Amino acid sequence: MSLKVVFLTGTLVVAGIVADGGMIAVKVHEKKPDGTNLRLYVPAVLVPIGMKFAPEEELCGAAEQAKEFLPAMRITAEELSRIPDGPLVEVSSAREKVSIVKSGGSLVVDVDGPGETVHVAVPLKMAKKVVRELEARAPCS
Amino acid sequence: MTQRRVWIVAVVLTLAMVTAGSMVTAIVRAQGGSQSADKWLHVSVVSREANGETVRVNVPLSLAEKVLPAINKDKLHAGRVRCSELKVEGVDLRAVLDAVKNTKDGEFVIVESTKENVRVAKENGYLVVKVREMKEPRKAEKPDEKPAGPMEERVDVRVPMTVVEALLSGAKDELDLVAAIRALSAHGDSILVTVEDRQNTVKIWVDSKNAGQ
Repeated sequence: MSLKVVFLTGTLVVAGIVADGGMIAVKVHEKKPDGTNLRLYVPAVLVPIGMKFAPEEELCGAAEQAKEFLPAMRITAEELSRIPDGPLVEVSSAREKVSIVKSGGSLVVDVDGPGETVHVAVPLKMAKKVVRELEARAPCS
Repeated sequence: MTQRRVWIVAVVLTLAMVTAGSMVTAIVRAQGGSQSADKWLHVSVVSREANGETVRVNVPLSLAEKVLPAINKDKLHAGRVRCSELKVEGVDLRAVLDAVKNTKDGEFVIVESTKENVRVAKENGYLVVKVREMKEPRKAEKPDEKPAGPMEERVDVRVPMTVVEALLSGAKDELDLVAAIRALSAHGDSILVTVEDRQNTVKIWVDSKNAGQ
């Protein structure tokens, strides 16, 4: 009985953490007979955890390169989290459609081109955590 | 029996937490709704050409206000642009804006010719620029293209003077972009720029909607 409760509670806690962090979604569909059809869903909560295990040199290099833009990126992510859902950028032509939309706590990029469609959704909460993590590492010792 | 009571209490507590959670979410969403009163800058570019593009950009002014001070590159530092470097075809833009700010309502520039009319004025709290240029008929460049008739190109700029004043509120050698954005946020809905030519229609405006037309 107690084991069941522990298992159930643990599952609920993990589900809550995953749901709170959101999911990173990447979908790529090539418009040809044998084209790639990729669908990737990763719980966003895993990214900051993964960064803890990433090679320090690599992260420091990335942080150093992006140092100049990190504050602006952090502020952008924070402000985008605050604003209501809606379209931010829409570009459409006869050949291609591109849209960047804020939707349900995520930044969603859709590209519908002649050769492929791409859909990327990045939870803003995760983006903020990643930028903060990089900011904490730059400058690297 | 005791175990049953524990389960009942647990279910009641869970329901109470779920209800409280829903209420908190509703309150947060309601607050989010009031944030839609934030001002948004919209840019719309619509091409008339066969393979032309339509571009729509919607930026919350609060985002621009907070991000600009974080960008320190080239002429832009802490949300301000060094004015000594801001010259358009040899004209000191700051000096012109400063002169306009300290002048009463009226027309500053009127150019009238057979091909072009230009008017720069200050009226009812706005800096107004109007350009009308008559374009000659255009021959077809491709075999399948129709020749274009004569057309009047239109440029209309209408900027609130409070924004111009905010822009000039910093040190003498700089333009304060953040102050100008704050002034724009405080101002009501307005169309800032419209450009209409043979190929494109461009519109830049500010309102409280988070999606452009």
